[in-house]
Formats: sequence, C-alpha cells, structure tokens
Amino acid sequence: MRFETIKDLEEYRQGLLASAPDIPHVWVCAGPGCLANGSMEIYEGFMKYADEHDLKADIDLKAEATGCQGFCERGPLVTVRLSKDANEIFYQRVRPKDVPEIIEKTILGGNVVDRLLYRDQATKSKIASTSAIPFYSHQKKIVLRNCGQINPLSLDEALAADAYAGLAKALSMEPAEVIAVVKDSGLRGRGGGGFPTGVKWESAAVVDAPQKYVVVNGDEGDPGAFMDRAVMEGDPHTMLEGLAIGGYAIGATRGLIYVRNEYPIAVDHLRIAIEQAHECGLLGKNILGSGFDFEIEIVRGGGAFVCGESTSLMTSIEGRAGVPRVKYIRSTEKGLWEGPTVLNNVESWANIPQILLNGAEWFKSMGTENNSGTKVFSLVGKVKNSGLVEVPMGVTLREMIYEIGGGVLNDREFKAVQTGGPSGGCLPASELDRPVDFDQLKAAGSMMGSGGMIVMDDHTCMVNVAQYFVDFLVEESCGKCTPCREGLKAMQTLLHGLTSGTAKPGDCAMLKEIAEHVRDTALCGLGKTAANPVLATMNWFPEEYEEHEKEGFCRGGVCSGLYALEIDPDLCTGCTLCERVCPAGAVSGEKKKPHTIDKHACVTCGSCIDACRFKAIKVVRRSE
Amino acid sequence: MEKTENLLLITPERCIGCGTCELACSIGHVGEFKPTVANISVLRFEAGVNVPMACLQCDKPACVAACQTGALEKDPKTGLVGINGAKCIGCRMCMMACPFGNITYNAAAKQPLKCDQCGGSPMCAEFCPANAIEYLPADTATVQRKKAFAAKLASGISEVNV
Amino acid sequence: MVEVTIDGQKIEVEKGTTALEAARSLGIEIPTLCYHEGLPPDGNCRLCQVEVTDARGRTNLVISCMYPIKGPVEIRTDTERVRDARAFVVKLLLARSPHSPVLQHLAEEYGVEPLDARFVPEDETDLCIRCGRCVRACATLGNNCIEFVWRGWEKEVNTPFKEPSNSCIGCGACAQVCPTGAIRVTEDETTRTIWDRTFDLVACERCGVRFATPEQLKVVSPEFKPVDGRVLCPRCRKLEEARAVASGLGAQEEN
Repeated sequence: MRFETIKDLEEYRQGLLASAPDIPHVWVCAGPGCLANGSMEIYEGFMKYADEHDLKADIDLKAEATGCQGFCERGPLVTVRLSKDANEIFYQRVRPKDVPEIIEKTILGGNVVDRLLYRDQATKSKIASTSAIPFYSHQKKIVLRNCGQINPLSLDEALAADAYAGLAKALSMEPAEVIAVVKDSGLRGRGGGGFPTGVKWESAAVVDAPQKYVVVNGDEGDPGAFMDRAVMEGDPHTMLEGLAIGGYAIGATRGLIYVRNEYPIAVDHLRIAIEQAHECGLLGKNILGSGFDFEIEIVRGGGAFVCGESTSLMTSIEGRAGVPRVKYIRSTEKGLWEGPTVLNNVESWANIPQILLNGAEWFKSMGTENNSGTKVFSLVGKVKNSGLVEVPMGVTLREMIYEIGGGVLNDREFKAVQTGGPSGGCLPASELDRPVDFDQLKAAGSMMGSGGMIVMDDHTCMVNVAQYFVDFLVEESCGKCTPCREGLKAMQTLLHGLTSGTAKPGDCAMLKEIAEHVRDTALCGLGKTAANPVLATMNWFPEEYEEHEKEGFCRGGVCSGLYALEIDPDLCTGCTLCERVCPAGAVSGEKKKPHTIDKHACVTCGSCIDACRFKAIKVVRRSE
Repeated sequence: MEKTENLLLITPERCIGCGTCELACSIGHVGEFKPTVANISVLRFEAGVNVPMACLQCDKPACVAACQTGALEKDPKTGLVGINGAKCIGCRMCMMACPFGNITYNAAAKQPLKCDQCGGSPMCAEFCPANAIEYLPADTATVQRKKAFAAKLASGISEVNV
Repeated sequence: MVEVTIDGQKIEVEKGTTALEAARSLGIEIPTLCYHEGLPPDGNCRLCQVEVTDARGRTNLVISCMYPIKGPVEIRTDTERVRDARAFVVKLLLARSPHSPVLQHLAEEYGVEPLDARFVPEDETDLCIRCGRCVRACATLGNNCIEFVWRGWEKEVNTPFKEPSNSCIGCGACAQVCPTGAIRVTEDETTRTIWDRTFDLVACERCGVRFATPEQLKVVSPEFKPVDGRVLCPRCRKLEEARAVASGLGAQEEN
C-alpha cells in the first residue's frame, strides 16, 4: 500500500471505516501505570481465551493493548464496547483472573461484571459507562483523543481515527496559510513557556536557509510528569503528522524527535510508526504527490534534566554534552547545526493535526482568552484519582482536584498544589478557584510548565517541598553558569539548615535574596526558574519558613525533630493503627480508648499521622 | 613585501654595535632602558661585525600561520604583522614558528612581543647613530636593499618573500 | 550601523557588536572572567552584567560579552541592579574559592560581604571557577585534551578519565588563559608537568636550553624549520640568522 495522492489516502480511509466489523471490542490499557501492574498479562489472557475457545478475531472479539487511558489510579484498566453504538463499559483494577468472567459475562452474555465497576466515592454508586465517570466526564480530549482508543502499533487504526488527514489538508494549502491557521488558533507552546506556536513557526519560515529543522522535545524530565510519554506511546502517528505539517509550513525537510532515554516503549512505538508512515508514502519523498519531502529521525537523550531546555537539547542532538547556550539569537534563526529550527514539545505537535483539520475557530472555541485549546496534566500526589487528564484551559484548580481528582486522599485537608515541575511553584487553598492557564498561573507566581500537577495535603512541609525540588535541581544543574551551579548549592545549604533545625537568624532573608538573584542572573530558562519552588513557597507560606528559622518548628510534621506529636483524645477512637505503625513503640493505650504518645520515645517519623483515619494526631511545638 | 609607505631597513654593514636601538626600543615600549625586553637586538660578532635583528614583517608570516586565535595578524593595509594581546592565549607557538627568533613572550604580561615599528615612527631608526637602521620610503631602491639583507639570512627566504 | 547610548555616551557600532565591545571602545570598564577575546564566548560566569533598555522601553539584565547590539538600545553599565548582580556572582565564586586574589579584589570592588563558613567547601583551596577558558583554549588549539566532567556543583575541568592526556602537547595555554591561576604547570631543568603528564623538554642544540616539548615542535613543524639541521631555541635561531648575515660581512665567530 502506498498513497500517491491525497485521494488515495482518503479512499483508503473510507474503505477502512466501511469495512470495520461491528464486533465486541476490548481495550486493555498498556500505559506505564497499568503495564507496571501487569496489564500485559490481562491482554494476553484475552488472546489466550479467544484462542482456546475458538473465538475469531474478526467475528467474535477484537482485543487490543492501547496507550494510557488516563485513570492510572484505578488501573489496570479494561474497557469494553459490545457494538459500535453501545456505551463503553469501564472496568478497573482488573486482574488476569478476571478475564474469563469479562468475556463470558460481558462479551458473550451482554451483562456487566459488577465488582469490576468504578464506584463513585461521592454518590457511593457504581458507574458502568466510561463517559459517566466524573474523572472522564470533565475532560475534553484533543491531544489524548486516540490514547487508549487505538492500538498504537496499527497504522490502520490511526488512519481510521483521522491520522494524516490534517497533513493532507495542509499539503493542499500554501505553507503561509498553514502558519496562519496555527497562528489564528492561538496555540501556545505546551512545553511550559507558552510562546505562541504560530509566531515561532513564522519567524523560522521567513529565514532563508539551505536546511531547516523541526524538532520534538520529548525529554519529559519533570518529576511526576508523564503526559508526553502517553502521547508518544499511545498515539505516535498524531505527533509525526504534526511534525510533518510543521516541516511543510516552515520549509524544513528534516524532523528530529528527541526522546528521553528512559522511554524505551515510546522509542519503539515511534520507530514503528515512522517505518509505517514511510512505507506508505506519508513520510519520505514527494508526500502524497505534493512535492514535499520530509524525513523523521529519533534521537535518544542521555537522561539529563537540562536537555529538556531547548538549546541544551539541540547541543545534545549535535552530539555534544547537553549544556545550554546563551540565547540572544533565537533558535528559529540559528538552531540545530546553525540552521533555523522550530522546537516544540510533544503536546504542541500533537495539537497541530486537529487544528488543521477543524480550523482555528474550533480550537479557539475551547479554553480562555489568549489560552485556547486544552492542556494535558498529570494529576498526582495526595489526590484520590491520580492520572492523566486533558481539560480545556481555564478549568479551575478546584475542578481539577475535586471534580476530576475526587479530592484529597483520605479526605485530609488540602494544603497546596504544585504546578510546573521544578520550574514551577506551589499554590495554596486560597488559590483553588483560579482558572488554570498560562497567564493565570504565572500571575499567581507559579507556572504551567509541561503540566505536572502535584497535590499536597496538610501533612506536607512547604520548606521540605522546596528542599526536595532544590535537591533535584542541584543534582540536575549542568553547572555551566555560576548562579545555577553555586547559587542553588547555597540555597540547598540554607534549606537543609531550615529543615534540620540548624538555621541561623536571617537565613530566610538570605535564601530569598539568593533565590531572586539566581532568577535574575542564570543563563538558561531552567536556571532562571530554578528558584521558583523556593520563591513560590516563601510567597504563599511565609509563616512556615519563619517557624523553621526562628522556632525550629515544622507545622507540617515532616522535618524530623522539629515537632512533637499528640493524640487528640476527643478524636481518637482507640483503633490502635498508630500503635501498630509506630517503629519506636512510642504509642500506647488500651483498645477503643484514646491513645497517647510518649514524646521522649517518639522519633518524629510521622508514620502515625498518615495511618490515623480520624485526624486525631496533632502536630505541636516541641516543649523544651 | 610590506605595502607601507616606509620600510624598516637594516644595513648591518653600518652597525657599530652600540646597542642604542635596543635602549630606544625598550624606552619606547616599556618606559625604561632594558635591552632584554627590546624588540630589536644587536648580535655582535668578531672583527667588529654587528647585526641588528628585528621582525622582518614577512609576507607569509609563520607566526601568523601558527596562531589559532587571531592574536597575530598581518595587516593588509600597513603590511605589518600586528599583535592583539587580548586575543593571545599564551601557547607560544608563534615564538617557535618564527624562523628568525624575532618573537619573544612576556610571561608577566601574558603577551608575545615583537617589533611593531612603533606605530609609524620607529625609535630604533630615529636614534641609530650610524644609519644602520633606517625608516625609508618603500621605493625600488629600498626594496632592493631589503631583499639583499634577507638574501643573506640562512633560512626563511620564502617567508620574507622579497 | 546602529547608534546606541552607553552610560549617556552615544556611539555608532556595527550591527552585531556586543555590548561589551561597544562599552570598552568607549573606555568603559566592565569586569569579565570567562570572557577572553581570543576564544569563542560562552557567557557562563555571568559577571559582565549590564542593563539594556530596548526600543520598546523594556529593561533587562544581560551579559554584555554576548549581548549583540541589533537596534538603538540604551545600555547602562553601572546601575545599582547591575552592581548588585555582579556582586552576587562574585559572592558565590568567592565562597567556592576564598583564596583567589582575583575574586578577593573583585569582592572589594563590589563591596561583597563573603558568605559564612557553611558555604565554603572543606577543600577551600579550589581556585577553579569553572569558566572553561582553559577548555576553550585547548579546543581552539585543536587539542581538546581537557573538558568539563560531571555536572552541577561537582563539575570540574579534567582530562578524560582523569588520566594523562595523549593529545596534550604541554603548551600550557590552559594555564595562561586561566583567570584565577587554578591550573598548575611545573617545570624543572629537563621536564614540564601539566595535567599529570610530564613532558621531556627539547634542548636547544646550540645553547642547551630546554625550550619546548617535542609535541609542541611537532605541531608547529609546518612552520618550524631546523637551522643547518639543528633544532635551536628562538634565541639561538636569531643568533644563527645574524651569524649568517655577519659571515657574509667577513665575521667568523661570536665572542
């Protein structure tokens, strides 16, 4: 099969849609979380059952391993659709031994397996249909629309889901028109910076150069972030298509995908997708008869956080150590191998095909002013429903955390949400009604970043959180510029002083001063934002810093030795859970009677705080 | 051959070995009488033969070819081989490359030293009592005389290219 | 050409001229550490900060050694913000290398209060500020025998695997360009040692002075020609050349 023209492609697509058999369909999530929980065994279970019971793949059942379906918290996930028009049935926490029951009861019998259904915590009722589950019903999927819906290794399935239709449309337009659509759509860089994508393309398009490049930043390095991974693993063709459209628009014949080395599945899936697209003429010479040539290659990163920074990434592709360069000359002018280069992140590229296909107005109809479209977040931390979510820009933090996320884990009190990874910041409960978009988060002193969202409960110390990120950044700083290399180290020294109770008077002020200077003087984007975790927590939680410095007190009950624990006798039910988790034997009491903690024996590990279901354990100041 | 209007011409036959040129050079460049740092030196031989040696401002300078940072460059306008000390990284390749030993290196200043013809009024020529060093218009006669001097050198005829 | 204002003085410069070059051409001093005119700029030390106000009125701190002048901007090299930023850089570097005279001098100039002992590493004899001038010098010479190794605060300059480098020619340019004197070159009568590699020094076949490593002479060999088949030091080359001239004039031997 080789598509010589756009018409060839569309005819083939129509053929696929028309000939698709209307049979029960099973999708087994093979995203990172489900895979780690043994979803491959489940998938194989379906295949084996079909084999043993002589079910025909084209008549009786089609089972497929898909990319991430998003609701990682409830994985392994299996979704079933009995016919084309039927609702999708959502099974969660599925185990391999559940497979025969799903086949027999649901696929052959037409009934749901009740115990595998999702139980909504708010209404206490079970929900069978995917679209009725709050985690999904608040989402709007553009980038993730195929993730979990198709087999990422099948070009036909991608084609049936409109793959390369956007490219076909772009190729029938002038490059300038393509750029105009992207510009009009208002798409902003999803890697975190939020720079208007169309403007970036335009500035590379106008440069006259023998070789230009389009590059995908797939070096997703933020702790807790896995959005790009899901796209690369679950729907590789969409990103390839976006990249080809970008190449056509700016006049680049070469595209490079920089994937972090820790994503071998993404690399595999991308490699296979590139081969498939190449074979049928969707990549390579004279694509769809348009005269446009485009090749894509994959470059594997070496696992350095700094390589997510655009100039480091390009240096790394060029085969040198990934360190950033001073950016007074933009990459769109002189980037990779000195050629004009457009670098966008995975999610930005994955938005492009749909924007081309449906138009700028369609894209603008979602989101808020200057922040059109959707954003993918990895919602993690102390939240009930952790997973991958895609929402229109402008959804509030509260909606994200409470509607989609289902609230704070164990119904503890919400303390903060960290957005933007190590370059971002923490926002407190008072900011929960803030709409989430590039400008709003920035105004609140945090940032969108690539879309990590870490929820924290009241058993969290904000100084410790800042320390966590600074520790990470000290480890990951490339060390090229003085402020990041030496400044972060100094910040780390001060933070460790605060969290260990050895701080000196004035340390917080010094920390703030150093952090501000690092922000103002560091070389690259990562260095300039490296102080954000400190500055944002200092801004919203100044009292915690003050308490650490002046009193050696950690109200979060995290910094060992900086607090004491007491049990509130009114709340304690005497369930003995705390007693059982205490490693020091410091908790005592009779069953069903309030317990007490021996402060001298307590090692302040905080285990009992997490164990107690009645919020009876209180963090108090040490009494000297 | 340098394209400057004037040439620094050495006529060893006239040199009386007084060393005034060395003193003049050092006072002009470092402000003190210090022949060891002068960019010109008089080599004295028996029978009263003395030879002043200074940079010949070669047409194809070996020193420039050896320099990787552009600290040494031949000025196409003046024909002089000039030094931009700020660009020097101290590898001293120029010193080793010069076939005539006419470049030295000042370790304290981290700079190579060579004749710069004092920016157009060479002190050595001005103070030479015997006219062994002259700064003359580059007419045919002067050029011929410089060629004659270069021809007497053991090596580097090609570099001087006169 | 573009006209820019630097500390109130107007100057016309070629487009692409850096703020540092423009300022220095006016005699305005801006401190630098990683910058070296003979090497490609790197912009890592962050000392040469200046404030630039562009045509739209936006003011930013930039590093002057790499900031290219593209339009009619206003540059200020001595504002409080600039001094503050430079002082910060000096303060951090001084904590790492408290014994560096260069940094002590800068600290004095910028009124830097040194960070307390908690920020000074145990091995406080480290003079290296990781500016990479040595690395760039070695690369410029085409030898590439030293590079940055590790990253972040652990970053340092070394030879591959910290072993004596085969490609080193012992020229010592790395030490010459080091702004803080962190690189040690030692010489005795017959050898030179640098980066843990000891080079025999070639003796002048006339005066016997040891003047270069064989590797240096090999690199310079397209230019370096023995005189009468003898390898001579620059001084003796001069002498021999002069002798050749002198012999044409009837002289025999030097006194």
